[in-house]
Amino acid sequence: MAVEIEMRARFTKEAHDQLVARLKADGEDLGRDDKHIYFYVFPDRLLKVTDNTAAGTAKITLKGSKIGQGTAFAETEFAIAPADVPAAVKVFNALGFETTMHEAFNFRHNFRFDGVEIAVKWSEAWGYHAEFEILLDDGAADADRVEAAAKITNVAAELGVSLMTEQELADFTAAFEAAEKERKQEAPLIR
Amino acid sequence: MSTTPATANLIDLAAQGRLPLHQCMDHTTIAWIAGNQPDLPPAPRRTLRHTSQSLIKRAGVPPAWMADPRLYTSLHGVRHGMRTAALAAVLAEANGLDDADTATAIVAAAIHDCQRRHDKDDQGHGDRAAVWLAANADTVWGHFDITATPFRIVQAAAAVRLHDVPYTAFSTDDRSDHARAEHIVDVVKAADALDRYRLPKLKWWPDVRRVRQLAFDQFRSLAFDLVVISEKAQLAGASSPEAVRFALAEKGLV
Repeated sequence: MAVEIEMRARFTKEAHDQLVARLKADGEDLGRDDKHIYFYVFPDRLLKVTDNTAAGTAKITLKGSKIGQGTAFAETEFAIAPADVPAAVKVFNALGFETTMHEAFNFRHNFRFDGVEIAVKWSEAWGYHAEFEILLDDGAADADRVEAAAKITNVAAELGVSLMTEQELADFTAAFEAAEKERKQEAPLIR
Repeated sequence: MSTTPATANLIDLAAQGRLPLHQCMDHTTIAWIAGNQPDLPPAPRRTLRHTSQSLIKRAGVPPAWMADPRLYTSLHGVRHGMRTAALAAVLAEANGLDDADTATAIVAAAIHDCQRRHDKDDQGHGDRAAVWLAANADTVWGHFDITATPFRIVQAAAAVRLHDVPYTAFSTDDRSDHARAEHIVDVVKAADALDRYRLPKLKWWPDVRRVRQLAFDQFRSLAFDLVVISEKAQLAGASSPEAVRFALAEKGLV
């Protein structure tokens, strides 16, 4: 099981355009990576079925904590065929997880800048945002994790991006989950 | 679900006069549209009022509101409704309409085609949608988180009813309805016309002679970009509402 050190930022369209221009000029462009993701949100875990629509691959991922519960995410994942995505979702829904599920399309472009992978994205829930990530081995020492977080913080600062705090992330995801519940209700219609 | 044959594209079918009843965008057609970008001046940069932004973000109506669920993702489906609602907001604000009039135009624009039975020349679909709107007013206005009043329902229904009636074909009753909600009717008809860049023949694209809207030409490039961005996004895998809301964000409208 690998460990991701992940930090996030949300920003305006103008800030997005400036960031992308800087990354295209000074970073490594890793290409477009749009995804359709089915999220199953549990109190202390996150299960995802991801259809990598731009790459033509798919995977199932279990993260050992959810957004807003720290920057280190223990992660187990395995590839599946893109054609199997609907079946995977059907299985998890049939197991009783449907009420915890929401889905979203992520418009995503990946870059690497000074050793940090940066996914610049847009989704309905998050708007324009970016994920800064360093992948560590499972046995990485605490010092390595702290160093990775510091590296991400420095890179974000160099790019002029304000990273979200853990509290901001927790508040944001809680508000989104509450809005999702409300959204699923619509009044009947007269034909 | 499209009734377009899987191997066909709308460009070829339109050229052959064989467009099916239900028409869905395809990669060939959107590439053709993008490749025929008219030489248009950029639209004036406009930040919509907060109330307008909030309403156009809600313009993705539920599939259950469509008379035929196959139209939800077709050329007259929810993406067209959402883009028309956004363009109605832009035109309404450019015309100096207040929040209430702008909201009425947005609501009417969002649902104006919801009672179509197919994507071809479906006579009377405006009439049917107006009746449907009156019967479902509380639900529709509630979807936008605003309150329906009899005056606003009548105005929106007039815009919906007249959206598919050319000005030159207005009857006495049509002129009377138009007079009751002139600015709103004109904005909705123009917004609907601006979204014609999605259609697979150049001669069907926006034509200023069919509208009464001085600001029409200013927003052609915005309308074109909204079509190209949202249709490409939908073909890339986004849902229809996601695709249009992405286009709205890309153009700085929300």
